[in-house]
Amino acid sequence: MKKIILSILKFSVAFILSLVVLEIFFRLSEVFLPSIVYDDPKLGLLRKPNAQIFSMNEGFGMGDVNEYGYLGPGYPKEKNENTLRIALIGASMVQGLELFDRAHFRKLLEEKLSAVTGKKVEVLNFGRGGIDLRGIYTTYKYIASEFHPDINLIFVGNASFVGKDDKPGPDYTVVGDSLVIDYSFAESSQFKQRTKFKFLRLTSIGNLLKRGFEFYQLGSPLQFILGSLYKKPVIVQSNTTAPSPLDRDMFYNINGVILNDMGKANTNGKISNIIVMTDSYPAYYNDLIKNDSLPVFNLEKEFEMRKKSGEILDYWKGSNMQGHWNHHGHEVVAGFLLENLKNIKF
Amino acid sequence: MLFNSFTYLSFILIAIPLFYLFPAKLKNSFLLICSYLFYAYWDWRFCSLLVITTLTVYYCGKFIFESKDPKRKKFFLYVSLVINLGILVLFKYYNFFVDSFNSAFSMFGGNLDWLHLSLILPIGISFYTFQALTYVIDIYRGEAEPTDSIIDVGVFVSFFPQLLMGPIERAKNILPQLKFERNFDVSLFKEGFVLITLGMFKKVIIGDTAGKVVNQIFAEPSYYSSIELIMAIVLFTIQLYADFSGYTNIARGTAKMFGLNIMENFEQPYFSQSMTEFWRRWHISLSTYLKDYLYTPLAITTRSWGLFSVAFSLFVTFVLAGLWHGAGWTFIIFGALHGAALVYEALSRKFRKKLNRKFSPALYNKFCMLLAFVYVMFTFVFFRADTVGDSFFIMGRIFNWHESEFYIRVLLIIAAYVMISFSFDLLEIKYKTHAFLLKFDNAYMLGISFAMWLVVIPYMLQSTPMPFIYFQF
Repeated sequence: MKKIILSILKFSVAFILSLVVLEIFFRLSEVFLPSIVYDDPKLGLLRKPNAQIFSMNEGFGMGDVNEYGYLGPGYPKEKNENTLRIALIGASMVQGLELFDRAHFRKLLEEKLSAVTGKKVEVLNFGRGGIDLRGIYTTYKYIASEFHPDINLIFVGNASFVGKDDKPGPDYTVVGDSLVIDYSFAESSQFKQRTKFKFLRLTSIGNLLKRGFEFYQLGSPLQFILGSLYKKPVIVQSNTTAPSPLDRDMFYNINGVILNDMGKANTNGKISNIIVMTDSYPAYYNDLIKNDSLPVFNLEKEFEMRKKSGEILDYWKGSNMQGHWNHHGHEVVAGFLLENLKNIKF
Repeated sequence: MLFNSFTYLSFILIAIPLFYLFPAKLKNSFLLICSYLFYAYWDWRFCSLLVITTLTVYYCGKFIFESKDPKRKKFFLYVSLVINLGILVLFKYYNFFVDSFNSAFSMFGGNLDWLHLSLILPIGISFYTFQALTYVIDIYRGEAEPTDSIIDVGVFVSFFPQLLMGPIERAKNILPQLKFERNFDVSLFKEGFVLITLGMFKKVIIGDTAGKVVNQIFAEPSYYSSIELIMAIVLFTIQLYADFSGYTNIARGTAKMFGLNIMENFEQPYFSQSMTEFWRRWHISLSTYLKDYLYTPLAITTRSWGLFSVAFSLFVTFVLAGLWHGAGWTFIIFGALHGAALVYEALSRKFRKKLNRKFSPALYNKFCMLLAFVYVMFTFVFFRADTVGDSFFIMGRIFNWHESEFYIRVLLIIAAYVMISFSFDLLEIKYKTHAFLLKFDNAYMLGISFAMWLVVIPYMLQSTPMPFIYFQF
């Protein structure tokens, strides 16, 4: 009996010490870092200020969340009068974790616009992966607005309109012509479970285990064992297919009020909100998008034209993956925004 | 089937118990079936190449042994060499030579594009071809006798743990083992488990994670600063070692679980004090193969040239070794750089001995170790870069310094990888075995192994398995 207890003790000591060594290795090498997000009971998933970012999926990017919780250099909430401040709001395309900030269109636009206008320009990256128009609106209304941007560039595409965001966060309902924010997500079982197990995300190993488990849930044991012999791909990509008719109407109503509300900010000829259309959107949104009060920069057209002439904008050679804008894609986006912003009276 | 996949782990979990349930006479046939299933998982059509190789070496070996006439012996040796190397050249080098010739020819307005063939490179072809040829060459040299069993030769050519990336075994080491009855042996099984655990950790956690960064930086080096390029070079040096030695550990571990011992392939090569020593410790099965079957015959043939014979034989051997790695100019330069270093070391032996006496031996040896490590990293730039132009671009950017905003983080990343990789080597040296966990108390060994699997499995779940680098060779 004594021997067994001693063996269990030895096993536990070796196991725990090994985990500590691995945790140190992961933190230093940055291959797996603790989660960079936390659950806010009001605004849902938010980034942890000062968290380190090390991303190696499609591309490779290193960076930091600044002390204010957004990406890129940390500009304080108070804005200097002579400074032109632009907020980039959108999902993962804007977030751009696939590359370094120095190659991100945020930085390129900041430099180019500064050279053109002769003003100090500050471009703030509020991109958050996986959000739809509701999340974009939350960012615009409750996060970016605190930094007093002169212009909000709101990046939307097909995925923004189909209600794909299922992470716990504030939701909206339409009452009359206005939106009512709904914080009931904080009472959901998903949110409670996330809060209960948040300690897992505080360590690199815990975060790795959590992600491994999430991927396991997406597949099935047989898929992992049979590999390429199994019919379906091992990992099912996030669903951006069309919502049910009922959901479609609901999202249409909510998105309509959101776009309308954003448009209202553009008053007296002063433009402060601009939609940047990154890819095609559902046709039934035509009347909402082509709204006089809300200018639209059609990036999709620019990309289509360039792709036709053979430019590669969303392929990552290093990972052999297609998806987010690559280095050249970011250069194109920066140039495109610069050309369009030149025509806007700030 | 990749070793770092759940498919492989499931495959061996089924195959090992079945192997021990089979009667002794059928064990090798079972291994042969397993090996063909393993290869067919990638592409069943190329199993025909394994059959051709097995048949040619089996019958040529038999005819060489039975023949009394030296000319006839030589004839069958050549038949086997021509068929097997012919297949290798066709699949691996044909397009390289045609394209190189075509680009030279196009300067005079010609176009030989039609000569280019759309061929798939069968994985592991360089390894199993070289291994299979040892069977006939050893019989020809009188160093081995042929076996009666074509099944045994089939297992020798296609034994799945070492089919794709070696170690390049010798017939005289494997074939006698196949004659023995192999019963379940707990100590071999335990050693196999430890080797597989360490190999999986090296491959998945060290090699693959480093590889993801390396792939990105080498794909588009112009977007990265000098320190980040240095990080990519150091990480590739570690990735290549973790990837290949991890593979060897898994291969040896799996073989042990089937009751077979296959040779070591690495002996802490980055602690070498010269390039000559490096090749004694790096990819040992290839370097000894090249020594036995290429360098020595060349040196004997040219022995009348004196010292120049050594230089010539070494340089040619290493250029060909570079070409063996891949059909491309980057690999030829890689081989030539190693050849040049070995020639220098062979010719400067006396001078270096004198130099050694002038300094403290400990300091001098450490300096030599650092120098050899830096030189190896330098040559790996050519090994890894997509083009020769990219290699020079990377060197140029390092010498023409470009600033980064992440100096400290990048240095910490480099330090973390170097420390974890070297700690494995130091433990191997201390305990004089690659399965160093066996030297610990069982409870400690299990505790460490469980911790390793606890991070390996979630990583494998969330990431597409990255092929081993040497698969392409």
